Amino acid sequence: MDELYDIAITGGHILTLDHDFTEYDDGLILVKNGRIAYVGERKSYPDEVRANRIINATNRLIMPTFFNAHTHLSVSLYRGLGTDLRLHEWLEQVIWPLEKRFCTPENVYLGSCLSLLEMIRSGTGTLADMNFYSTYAAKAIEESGLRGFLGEALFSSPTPSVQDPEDGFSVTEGLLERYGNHPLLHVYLVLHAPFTCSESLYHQAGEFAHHHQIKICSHVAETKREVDSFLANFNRTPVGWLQDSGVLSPDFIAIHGVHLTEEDKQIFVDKGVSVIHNPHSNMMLGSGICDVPDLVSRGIRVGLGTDSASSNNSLSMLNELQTAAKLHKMNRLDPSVLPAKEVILMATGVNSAIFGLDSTTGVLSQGFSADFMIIDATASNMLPDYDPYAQIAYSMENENILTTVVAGRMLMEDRKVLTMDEEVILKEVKKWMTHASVHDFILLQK
Amino acid sequence: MKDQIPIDLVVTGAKILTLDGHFTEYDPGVIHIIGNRIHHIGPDDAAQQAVKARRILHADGRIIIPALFNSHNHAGMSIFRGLGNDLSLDGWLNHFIWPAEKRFISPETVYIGSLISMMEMIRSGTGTFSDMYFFEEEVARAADKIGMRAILGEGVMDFPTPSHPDAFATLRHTREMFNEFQDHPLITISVAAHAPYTCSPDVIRKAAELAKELNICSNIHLSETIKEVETITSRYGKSPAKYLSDLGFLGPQTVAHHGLYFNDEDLDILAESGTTIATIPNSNMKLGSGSLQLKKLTKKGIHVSIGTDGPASNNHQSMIRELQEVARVQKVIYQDPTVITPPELLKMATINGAQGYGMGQQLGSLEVGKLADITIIDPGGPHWYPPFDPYNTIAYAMHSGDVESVIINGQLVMEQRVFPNIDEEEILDQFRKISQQIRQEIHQP
Repeated sequence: MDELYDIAITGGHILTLDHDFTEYDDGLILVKNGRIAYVGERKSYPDEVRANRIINATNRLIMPTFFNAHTHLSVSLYRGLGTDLRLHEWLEQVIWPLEKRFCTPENVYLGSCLSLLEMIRSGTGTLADMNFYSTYAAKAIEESGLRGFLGEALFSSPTPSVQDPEDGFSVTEGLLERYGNHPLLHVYLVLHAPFTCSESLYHQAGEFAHHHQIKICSHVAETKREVDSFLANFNRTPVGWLQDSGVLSPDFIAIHGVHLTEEDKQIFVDKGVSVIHNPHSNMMLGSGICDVPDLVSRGIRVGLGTDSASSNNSLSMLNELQTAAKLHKMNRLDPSVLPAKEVILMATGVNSAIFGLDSTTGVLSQGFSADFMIIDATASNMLPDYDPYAQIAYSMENENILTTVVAGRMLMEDRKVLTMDEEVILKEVKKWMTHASVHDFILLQK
Repeated sequence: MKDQIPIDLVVTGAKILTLDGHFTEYDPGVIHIIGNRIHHIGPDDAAQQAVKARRILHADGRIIIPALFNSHNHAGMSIFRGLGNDLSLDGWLNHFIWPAEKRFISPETVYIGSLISMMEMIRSGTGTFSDMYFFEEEVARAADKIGMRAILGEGVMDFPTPSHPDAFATLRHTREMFNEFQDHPLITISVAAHAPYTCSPDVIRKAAELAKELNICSNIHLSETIKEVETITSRYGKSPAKYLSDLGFLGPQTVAHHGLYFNDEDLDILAESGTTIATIPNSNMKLGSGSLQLKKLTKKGIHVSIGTDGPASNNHQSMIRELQEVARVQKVIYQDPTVITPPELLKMATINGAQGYGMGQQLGSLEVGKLADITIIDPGGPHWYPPFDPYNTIAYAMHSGDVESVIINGQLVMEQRVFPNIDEEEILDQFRKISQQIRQEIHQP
């Protein structure tokens, strides 16, 4: 008797994104217990396909889901407030006051649900979050069915959720205890930035991460102002300063890395640090352009993230990779840099490798987690189909993403989100927004 | 009740962003359309209950903006989208596009390719586009079929094109098209000289004279790459803008596409002539050409509009994505997030384009007496939440797919993402046949 699978995806053009960019023109994917049991040409499969759910994907494109390597899930509640400001003004005049007033466990949960909805609808399967009240973000991620990295943002000063950085470590320990063996949730240590965390906090965090064998990340060298102030106060760049704290290691993930000196880049190479590029946010805030082709040529791993919905203002990894594909061509006046395939890997497998999940997700291969999306390749904006990588990197729209599957669970089918109640969440967000205090607060800011 | 002209279409219940001079909004608002024009626009109040119309479109909870104006396209090139990626403009044109055009561009492929492009443009909220390509009468036929407004210019070049043996034949054809389409409600004919480096002085002069004689708008690629500026400077001893200006090509009904590399004299020339610059960031980015310097232009009072360029260089035709990229590119090159705001961006994507082509009195904002070209957006997706400010969401977060329906010239040419005037499946089939043939004959590097 042929084996019964959970899901079978029959037909469709499969982009595995494996090392050789193997493709199957008329493919078959069989899913069992959340994993890919078979992927290949349909005609090469010897047996009759038996599955509880068979999805006909003829004329569709199938690829791994995106990995959003940097976001702040709950901040979507503030999307549209205080745009067109520089990072430091935006933080000090808008975001931090808003968070002080509105960052509660309920709102972290609500904002996270909102962000997760948008992510599912734009093909994201894995995300790395930096948040306050991260146990409430964890609850939302768990319900959504996405794969997530949970991180309680550490500051040297009190945050909306913890009074003392020590408590932040405790929260992280609590997350580790609770989710240490969770199939989809992982814990990492997140520090806000060199301009908000002390050298000793970084040092302690490095030891904590090493002890627990978890990844550690921080915003680094996002603006020229940050770098200038470090040079003035410490006679070191933020990266040099971080090196002195002892925190840098192959487990360290530097978010942004917009303003890096030659020495900084060499430190990243020597220490094995990875960088996460967030082009939309850096553009929107006028921060500058991270020189991704240069970092890559030095052997530094560079992944991709959206940053938050209030600095981007979109959480679509598709649109993010499309801008990344073009931004560096413009910046270098060279259309050959960051070709389509490379930038698609930045949004998938490179991020998996940076976060240590490269034997789990990012590639459609036997034994990997069943994390993939089904794309409508027949829509007029997707035609013609000469080069699927160019279609994705330059032409595809979010609405072309029809179905997303993470760990064998369908999160969205034919544009309907299955794991979360979209209507209820949007209604709650509107209720929050029209709540009198939000209005007063916004007026006060103006 | 006094005698009234019957109203053809009433759109009720939506939040209307008119984009008029005062950014007037109605929430909820109502639009009455008679024939192809806006007869009334205002608040959707109790008095509206009694209004009778041939058709009432309930747009409760939707957002309405003027249909977007795409200042530059080569719609027929959709058949080549995805060929020769990650190449320089020069290499892409010489090794892929020009040989492919010689082999595959025909009236039939232009017709089908343009229809595919128009579907994509309308689906992302565009009502009017300016096209520069070959067999433009086929683009006219396609626009007429689907119901889209188009400004069409047969591409003028020194060398033979797929449609004409030389530039003068192309200009004669432009005159013929002008005569043929003079009274067409959707089609406007323009003079479309390709670029300073592909048009000799004599051709540019004749093109400018034709535009003046017929009193029609003209357009051209200008200062797109450093190489172009170097080529023209060494050939004529002056900048591309000065070259065009000296030949009488620039003026208030001229739109110059790209405009990345201008010196101070160029800026004065453009400002004095009233020429509009159409910026196309995604194409400039993808081809590694560079970026427009918006502040330099606006400081001189030069009008800037937005286009998508052709689907083979961009590679999409969504004005939504294009205007979003304008914002991000300008903010990052100046490292200044205040350099442009959402309302300004929306004007660039609507009225500025219409003004550039001499149609500012007719199009580009929702006002009584103007043509009824309207885009209806569904703000129901999570990326619209919280719904603080629709301008902001359109400029930074909206997806092309949020466009629900589009009215052009008073007609619903897309309703709930379906095109009533065309057989979509049949067009897709014909397009696939063309692209399969191209795929068989052209091998990707």
